[in-house]
Amino acid sequence: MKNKTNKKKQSWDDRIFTAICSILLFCFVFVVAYPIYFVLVASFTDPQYVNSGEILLYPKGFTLLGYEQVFANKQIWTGYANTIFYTVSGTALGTGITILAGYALSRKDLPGRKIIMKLIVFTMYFGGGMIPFYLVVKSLGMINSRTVMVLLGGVSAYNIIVVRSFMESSIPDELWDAATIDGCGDGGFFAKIVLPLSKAVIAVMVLFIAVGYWNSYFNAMIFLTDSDKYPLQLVLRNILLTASASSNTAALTDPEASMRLEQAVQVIKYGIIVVSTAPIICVYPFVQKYFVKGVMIGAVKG
Amino acid sequence: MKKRTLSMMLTMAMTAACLAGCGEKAAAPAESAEQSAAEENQDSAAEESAEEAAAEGVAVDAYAGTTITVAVNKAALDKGESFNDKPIFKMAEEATGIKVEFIEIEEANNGDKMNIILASGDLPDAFLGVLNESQMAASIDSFYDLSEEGLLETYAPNVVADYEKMDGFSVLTWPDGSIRSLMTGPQTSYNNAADGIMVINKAWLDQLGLDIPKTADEFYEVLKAFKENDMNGNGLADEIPLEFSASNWAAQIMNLANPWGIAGQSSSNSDHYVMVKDGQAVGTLYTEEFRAFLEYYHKLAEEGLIDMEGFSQTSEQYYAKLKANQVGCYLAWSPYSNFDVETARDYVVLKPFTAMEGVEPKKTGNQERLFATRTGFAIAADSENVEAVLTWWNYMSSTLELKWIARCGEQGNAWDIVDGKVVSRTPEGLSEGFTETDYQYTYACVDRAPFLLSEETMVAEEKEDDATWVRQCMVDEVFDMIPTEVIPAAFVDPDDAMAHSLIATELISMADNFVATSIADGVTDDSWNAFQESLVGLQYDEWLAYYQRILDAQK
Repeated sequence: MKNKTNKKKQSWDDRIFTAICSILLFCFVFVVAYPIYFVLVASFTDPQYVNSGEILLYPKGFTLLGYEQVFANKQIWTGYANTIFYTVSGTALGTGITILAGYALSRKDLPGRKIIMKLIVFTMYFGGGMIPFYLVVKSLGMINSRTVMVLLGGVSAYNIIVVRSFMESSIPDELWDAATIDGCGDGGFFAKIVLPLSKAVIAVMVLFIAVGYWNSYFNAMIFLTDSDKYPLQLVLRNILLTASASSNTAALTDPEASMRLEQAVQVIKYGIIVVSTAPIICVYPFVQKYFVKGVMIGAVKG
Repeated sequence: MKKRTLSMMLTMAMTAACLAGCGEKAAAPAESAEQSAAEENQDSAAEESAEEAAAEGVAVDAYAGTTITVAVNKAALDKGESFNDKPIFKMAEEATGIKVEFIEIEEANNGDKMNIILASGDLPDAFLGVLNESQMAASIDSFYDLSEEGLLETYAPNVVADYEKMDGFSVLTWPDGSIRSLMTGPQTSYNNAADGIMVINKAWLDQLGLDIPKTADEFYEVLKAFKENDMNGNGLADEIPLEFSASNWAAQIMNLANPWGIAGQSSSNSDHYVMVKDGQAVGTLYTEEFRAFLEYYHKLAEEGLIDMEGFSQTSEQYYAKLKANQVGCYLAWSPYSNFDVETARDYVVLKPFTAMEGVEPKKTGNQERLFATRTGFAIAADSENVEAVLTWWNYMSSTLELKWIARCGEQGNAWDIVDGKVVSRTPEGLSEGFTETDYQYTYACVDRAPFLLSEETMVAEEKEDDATWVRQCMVDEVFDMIPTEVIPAAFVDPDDAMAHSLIATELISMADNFVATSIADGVTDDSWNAFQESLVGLQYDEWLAYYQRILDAQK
């Protein structure tokens, strides 16, 4: 009934506007969604048809070979387990530190607050570079250790600023005054009042950090040598890159090997993409609203 | 709330499914290792070599108890858990008493990771298969100078003996007189003497009653007939008479210039832009033959006889077209690698035909190409175990058997010795997911293994439809057309090499573009003259002079 009245009220120019918007949005959604759909379809299709560009909307030469090989590949599954471990522990650690740091920096009575903040912001613009970074990690004895994978990437200056901004705007000083009058200390105030009021920003941080861990491969590539510790994305990268690299260089010395690699990768390529992204895609719709919130919180006020 | 529960369950189910898949399947390589068969052979080989090494240099176990670290390139096809599981390294440890800690670097990450390791200055004792020439040139002082008097003679006498048979030290010596590395892989590889070889669909020719073309005109007629006669019988005019692919190493466009006497030392386009004639590095891009080549293929392009997608398609698309039974003529390593046996039999070699009067057709390749990797094995300058590392490497280079165990795995499995010659064998336990090539990379080092002299390489046995044998027959047909005058393998001054590659960046891409646009749009006097001027502007002469310097240095 309500819709009906709304419809009646729409003038013709409104309707044209709505129609154009809808068409544009549909096109946009199509542009974004089709590649994902294509990968899904391609993962069930004989690679021959994928490469000759013969598939468009549905699988041709239906095959589960790609998935069979993915499921048979031990490295992918150890990679999966490692990624889950790094993501879960890294996110827990990273979120904890970020929230604590953000809260502390939001408190106006923190001594040296401005200097600390400036030092943190400084790191956003200037870094030591790759080699010094490598040497530091090495001298700490963390090369080829799982610790390095959990520690790196957990805390970022940007996230601390987001949390600080959120706390500054949503936890008023009066709350702290009231709490102290009731006999609450720093720890109690943080645990009983700040945390429950910061659920939104915690969710945002968990998401930001978790996605960062899930997608990261660079640190693993540089610091890990033991393939049992590789995260999924690095395994994925190795599989896909070796084949393309070999078609240029290794082929000159061992064409049979490069041909074999290309065949192996062709079959597995799309299946592996589906398997590695499926968990994130499944979780994403339920938490994506926090991403929007996160952007809103972080924007402008930094 | 329901939604949330559902999402949680979905995620958990995914995770559970993932973990459930971990266990069973990947055991193929481990199961296929038939360890016991060749053990006896290996033991005797180890003993022999131990005696040999002891006779010529230091005792094989002089450094027993030493631990060395070796950075090694792990191939993508290597399904093994650790390099220490490979038979050759087990035997080396047993014989020399030297324990090796391998730092395994995946092929895909090799470049990035080695750059960091070299820049950080924190180096392992030795490097196996992880360095390329430019990395070595950039950090040359990081590597031990093996030219030190008596060093190799004392600790690696077997390596020295091999190098003396083929002038090995001259290809390893840098312009400053130092030697920073030892070679890995075979000295030459007959099957690699020619790269991509043109093959033509003989079944289609027979269908049309045509012979294998011997001149450019005949070739044109054949391609035209392929195009017009629905050769694959599917009712569609989808035949591609002539196929190539810029993204496939063996099938690049310049290989098609062979009939005009233009041949590179490898399949890459840029290798075709310089040739050696009477000891001089000659620029092919200046020649009338080059222009005639472009004009001929422009004619083919206009009539749809050559696939113009070749300039942009990926290697995968190229293979897909081959498999779709559309292609009449293409550049192959071996048709047996691209087709099933039945279809592969239809393709025969098409030798470079005669295209211009007075111009002898050539074939891309290098009859005596040094196939070994010159930077294959190096030792860090600050290593405290130089002697131990050399002793270890010398052991693996000491007998034919050991070299082949390092290259292909246990004797009797992937290879064997018959009448003093190394021949190939098919190992047991192979499957579709674990081929002979996987076997070799998993149980051995292939081209990362110690240097093999030409006479020690594998001899292909005559066997119908065997890929190696077929390839050898293909090379036989074109071998005599491969230029004998070539630019020798040599280390050059790093600054000179850098200047050369700077010129190449722009020059080569300009030349590649000119080839593509000329074939697509044709060559006019104007475009030709403009191209000639650009060559001068982009220092083509200087680019050629670099090769002349290498040639002169060898004299």
